[in-house]
Amino acid sequence: MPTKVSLSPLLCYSICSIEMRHSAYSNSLPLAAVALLIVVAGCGRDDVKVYKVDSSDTVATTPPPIAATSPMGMPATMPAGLPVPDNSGLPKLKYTLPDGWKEKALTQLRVASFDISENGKAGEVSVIPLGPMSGGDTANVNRWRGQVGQPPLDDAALKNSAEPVQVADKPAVLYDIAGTSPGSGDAERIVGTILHTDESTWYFKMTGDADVVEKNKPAFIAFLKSLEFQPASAALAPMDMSQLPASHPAIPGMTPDTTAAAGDKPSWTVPADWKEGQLAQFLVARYVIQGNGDASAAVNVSQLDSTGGGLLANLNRWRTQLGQPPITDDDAAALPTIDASGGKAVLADFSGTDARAGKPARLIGVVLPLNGQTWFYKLMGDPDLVARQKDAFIAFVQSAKYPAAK
Amino acid sequence: MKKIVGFFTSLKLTVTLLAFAIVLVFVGILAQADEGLYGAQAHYFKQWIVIGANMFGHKVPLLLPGGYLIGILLLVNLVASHIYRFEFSFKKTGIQIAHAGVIVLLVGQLSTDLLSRELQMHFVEGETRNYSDSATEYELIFQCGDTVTAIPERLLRPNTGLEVTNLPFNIIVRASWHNSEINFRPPMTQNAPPLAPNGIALNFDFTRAENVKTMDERNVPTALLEFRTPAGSLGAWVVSDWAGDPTLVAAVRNSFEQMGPAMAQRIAGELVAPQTITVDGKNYTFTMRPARVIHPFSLTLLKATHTVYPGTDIPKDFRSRVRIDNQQTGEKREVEISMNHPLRYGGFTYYQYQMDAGQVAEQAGRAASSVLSVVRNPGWLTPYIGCAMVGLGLVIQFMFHLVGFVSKQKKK
Repeated sequence: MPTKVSLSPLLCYSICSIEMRHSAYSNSLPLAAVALLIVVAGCGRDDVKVYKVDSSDTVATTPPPIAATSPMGMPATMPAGLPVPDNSGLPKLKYTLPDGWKEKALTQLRVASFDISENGKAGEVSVIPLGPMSGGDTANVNRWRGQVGQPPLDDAALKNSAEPVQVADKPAVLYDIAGTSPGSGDAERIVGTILHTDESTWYFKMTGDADVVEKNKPAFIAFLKSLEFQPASAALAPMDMSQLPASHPAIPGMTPDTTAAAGDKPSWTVPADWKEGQLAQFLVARYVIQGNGDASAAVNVSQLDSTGGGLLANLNRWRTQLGQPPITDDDAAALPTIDASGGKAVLADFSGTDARAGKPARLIGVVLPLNGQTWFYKLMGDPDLVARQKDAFIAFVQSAKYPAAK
Repeated sequence: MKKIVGFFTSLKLTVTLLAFAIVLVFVGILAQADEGLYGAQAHYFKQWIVIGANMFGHKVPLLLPGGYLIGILLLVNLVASHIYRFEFSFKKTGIQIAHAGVIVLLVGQLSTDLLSRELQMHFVEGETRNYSDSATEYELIFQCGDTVTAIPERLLRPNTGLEVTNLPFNIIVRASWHNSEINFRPPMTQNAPPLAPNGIALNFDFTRAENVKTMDERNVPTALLEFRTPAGSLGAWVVSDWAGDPTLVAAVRNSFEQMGPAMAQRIAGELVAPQTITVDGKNYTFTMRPARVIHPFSLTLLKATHTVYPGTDIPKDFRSRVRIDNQQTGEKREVEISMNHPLRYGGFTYYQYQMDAGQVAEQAGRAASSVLSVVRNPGWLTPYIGCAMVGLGLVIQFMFHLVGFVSKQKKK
């Protein structure tokens, strides 16, 4: 039964009057007065209030033109926004490369990145500096824990699990998290280190097959110790596209040129009535289809490392865009597949209401895991137009030839 | 009955209570280092019984009467002694007045503690406010047309249902956190579905955080709610002060400034996107925000002045020029509020609290703004009255003795 909340302070008044009647019979007048004071003070604060405002006032908050660093009451915690891309002001790294580690091309936010491969099993090391507001250690370590299917820990438990380690000549902490990949179920392990400096927070992370990571832990620790921070270069590091949604809408004022390098782009046959759209962040390709009247649809293609967060999570993210409830693993497993060049791809077909536009919409999505990456194709827009374009869309997906698969 | 009266009127009780008060004040002040000012106040002084204390980073097993108990027992002790012990004679007028003054002090302090409210009024130059926000209390509000229904945050207890008379739906509280953290939700790094399938939860993750202790931090409450009508559920939604408090929204936005102002603004825009449910054709927009006290008048910030000593950044003066506009009384006048020169108006006192103006704000391209600390304290006069009474009582008493002594000397 729901608790009934009294709207008027009637209840309080009645309690108050009871107190007053009591006081009439009591010798201890002051006690009654004090009790009355407490009751009166207590009344009012827990009441639901109803009042009229100017109807032009809206509930929605508008951020005031005041910087957070102004002397206004600072929040206890700063948002742990992950994508803080501009690391041009950060120092470069110098290090001793452990045996068996291979330097990788620097993508995304990384200032250093390595592949480790042993007996067909793989691991990866990444070094990412983020701004001072990159979120608390707890949030970030728990994010790592989530990536190997481990439950989050509280501050105290995390503190206990932390191992002291040295990064360059600075003390830092290391977290060793063993678990299984929520996607594949394979034993995985993450060895991560967080270093706080005055200007930034550095994340050093080795992840991959549990055996590989375990074997390379001493090398990782030696690598951390060998690091030297060098002064910043003026070069602007590219933004980490993978940290933002695959179908994230275009961001005004941002140059789209920093998306996937041209060499990574598959070649495909594009239907004649599709027009190339404004390429937004984290998109490999975008096409716009104009229907009759104001009906339109768009095709977004994006590509992410690994499972890109998992099939189910991405399908449900698409469903939320249509205002639909999430589906379960079983539902996802029951979805049909299509043959794409390079393997079987999951085909999703959802209808609902476009959460942004508030109009009915249909979404046809294809998720194709390929060479350790995942490709996402999404056709979304006016239901009739999408229905007419479905075959062309599938043909488009099937026509793709991927660089690595050449 | 005699025994009870004897107990409450005994001088032993007074001395014992004063001794406890000394210990309590000592322990409470030491504990501030560990628990913070507000925490220590709540633990030791706004408390009936104190169980366990924190001193020098250690927990100390301790049982003490709390501030409320000591104060009230002292009050009862004093009043009872007055009634049963002291005879009302002309010669003892001074003592009576002095004791009455102590009673006024005790009652005044209790009333201050229970009835006073500390609020804040934030505004940018040119803005008008007819409300103040609490710095420590929050409320869940529903706005339908021009009607606002505000539900105090402390009523949102986890796993309870709320039925509010003028809302056509029930509120089921799935989770309620007094302090929370916010994370922008870049879907590719998420392994879990959003907290709720609607509204701001789609773009942001909220997690519970430990309550803060120090004075320069504050809690940011978040709750997961479900709305239900007899016809069915209207879905689960997240309400958070992160979205309802403009200062926090600005903080979120600024933390993304490195991604470019457009992106930062966009993310902030997602956070403040109105959340609305429709019941019986009426739209209810809701959010969590600092508890608001509406004034029957408005203040407009005309000018915020922040001067520094020449050649330094050391503040010399904070000054807000405001216009009071009271439509009920037709009053319209300008006043200046500065350090040590608060404005007392409409039962509230407005102190100059914080300021973002002058060169610093100009250079950063921010509009000048000011924060007033708004205090309502119905008992604010009691310390003055109490002290005056004690002083007067002592003077009268002394005069009786002096006059008696002098006349005796004369007789000799």
